[in-house]
Amino acid sequence: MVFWTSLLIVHGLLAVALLGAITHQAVALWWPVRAASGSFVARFRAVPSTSYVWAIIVLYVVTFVMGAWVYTHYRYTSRLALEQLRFLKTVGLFEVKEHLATIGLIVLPAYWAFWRRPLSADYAEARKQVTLFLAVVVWANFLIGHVVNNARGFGS
Amino acid sequence: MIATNRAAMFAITFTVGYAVIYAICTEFNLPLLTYHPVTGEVDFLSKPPRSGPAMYWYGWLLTALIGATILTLVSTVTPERWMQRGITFGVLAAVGYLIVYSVALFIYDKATIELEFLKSRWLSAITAIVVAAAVALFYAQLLERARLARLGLGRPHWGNGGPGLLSDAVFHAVKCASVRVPSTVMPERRME
Repeated sequence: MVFWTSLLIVHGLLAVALLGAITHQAVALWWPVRAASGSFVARFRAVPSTSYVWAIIVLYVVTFVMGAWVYTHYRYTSRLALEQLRFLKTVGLFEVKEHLATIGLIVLPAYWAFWRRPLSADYAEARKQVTLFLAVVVWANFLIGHVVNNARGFGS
Repeated sequence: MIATNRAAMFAITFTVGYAVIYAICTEFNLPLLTYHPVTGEVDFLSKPPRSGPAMYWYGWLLTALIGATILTLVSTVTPERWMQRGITFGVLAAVGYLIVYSVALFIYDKATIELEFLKSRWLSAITAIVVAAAVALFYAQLLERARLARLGLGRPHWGNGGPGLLSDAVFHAVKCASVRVPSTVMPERRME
């Protein structure tokens, strides 16, 4: 049990790092700072988007693999309990997370192609859309994972 | 948007192909393997649960991975015109399946007699594929005729025994639309 709990916590921590990276990149891309400013929000928006690409790809893949690993344990422990407790919406929500995570993984090759250096002007709009899509997927997965994890309470 | 290099084309095609094949795998349950988490056993292809639940998700991922890799490799050696036809066919088949299967389930739900065959996904899929192939072929012929007509090589109307008024109307609509003539065929026009 300690092993699976540790794995879940590491998975969650990696997800937080991924969430921060993709949010930074998406905000900097969609809401770039026009003039220098010392505010927290302006500094948040002023990050160089390109430098996040490989971090996001690696974090996504590692988080995905760890999540897929934890999933095996979830399937015959937590999920069975959730089904017995008739937490069917929670179970269904996790099914959505499963597919969203896969779609996010699928998008990564295109995401990499659109962010290849030197950045192509042809891909400017596609780059924005795919980055936003990936950010939405990561946020959705993070929130769903949080909800599912809280369904029975940690350690219960 | 135009893919500007081979690596980008490969990556984008792989992404699209994987998404499509993954959707098909989940809809028709086509896993390459089945994992039984309680016993830790792995079976080839789809197998029913035993000693606890069965997991198909990993199998779907693998099926889609192999399918997308093959699709991407094939697309790199396929002429663009055939790729366009393939995409048209794929989109039509997907939309067709959605419509056909929804209608089939609606009829099944409302029917006063038991029509079990309407619940078959495969039947809806085959119907959608046949219809999509016919429409894609029809559309391809229209585009080809429009292209030839623009080059002055084709007849503006169908001859005896050709399709009816509807196809002529669609043909003229396609012809009147701004169909771009590929630069590779322009020299033929100059020779006339």
